[in-house]
Amino acid sequence: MHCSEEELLSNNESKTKMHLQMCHECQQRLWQLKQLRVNAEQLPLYKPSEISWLRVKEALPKQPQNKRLSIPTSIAASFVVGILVTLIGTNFYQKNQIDQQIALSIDYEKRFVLMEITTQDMEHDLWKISQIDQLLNQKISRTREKKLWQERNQLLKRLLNQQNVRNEVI
Amino acid sequence: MKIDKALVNLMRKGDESAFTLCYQTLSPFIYSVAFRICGRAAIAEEITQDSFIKAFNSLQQLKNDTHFIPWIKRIAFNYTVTHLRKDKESVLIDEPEQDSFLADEFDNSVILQNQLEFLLSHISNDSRLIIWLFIVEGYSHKEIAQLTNKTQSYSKSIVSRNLAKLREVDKGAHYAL
Repeated sequence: MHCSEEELLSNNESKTKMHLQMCHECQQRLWQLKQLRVNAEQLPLYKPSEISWLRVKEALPKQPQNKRLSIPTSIAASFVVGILVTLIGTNFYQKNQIDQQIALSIDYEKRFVLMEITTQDMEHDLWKISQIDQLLNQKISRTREKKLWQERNQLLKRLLNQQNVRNEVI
Repeated sequence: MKIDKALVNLMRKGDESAFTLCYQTLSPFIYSVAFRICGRAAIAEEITQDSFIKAFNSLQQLKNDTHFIPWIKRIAFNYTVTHLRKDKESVLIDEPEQDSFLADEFDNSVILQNQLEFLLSHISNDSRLIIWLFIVEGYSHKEIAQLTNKTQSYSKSIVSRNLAKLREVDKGAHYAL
């Protein structure tokens, strides 16, 4: 009985080997199988289109993210607390300074009103104060608010000085 | 055609250049086989894409890094089987597809040049897959049966019948010369 194609290709059993030595037909069949394998290697290769790679590339698994730099919890906590203290402290300091400027401004205004003297040359400064008041009614940063109050107080101080000079002249 | 352990390792880490190199090396082989079996470029492209996407995204299932090539080939053959099945379902056929060894169609120069090419061009897609798996890839009939979901005797008969016909044709071709 002839060998099967599988037996011919594996060619492991002694029975197959013995049969092959005697059977011309099986020898031819084995040669054919080997020849077909050689033929496979000779077949030309075709390349898939570039679009194929782009589609594969789109579906590539995502690269795992690098490990984050681990910071001990205590250091991280103290860092956060430090920032918070600085922010709150700065905020508190600025608010205090603004309050001081407001108190000073109220005092200047009272004195200015009590003097009851306004002249034409004061008009420009008064106009400037009105402009500053408009800005102070808007939402602005604490730093800017502080600067505006300082400027307002300087103008009021100048106005008071002008009034004092005038009173002395009179 | 070589994909070494180091390259597979890089792919496992998600290295894009490793994926590119692997695709550039293997895609012509996968595509050419799929094209030879299915006979349509569009389907061959689809099989190639699906195979690489599946392989690249399930590298954790690859147990031995040195077996990457047979593993991706197996994936490609699975997709080929799926496509052949879909193809059969979509085509209305009253009779099963036959392998056609019509003597008057033979070109003697082709059979003398490359018998495998000649054989593949004269048989059905299903038979092509079985012939390719058995002769070129060295699959056993048991493995072919598992992959194609057909019996071992079916693949045995496809192989022996077509090889016998090829021998007859080969004799004739030599005789004609």
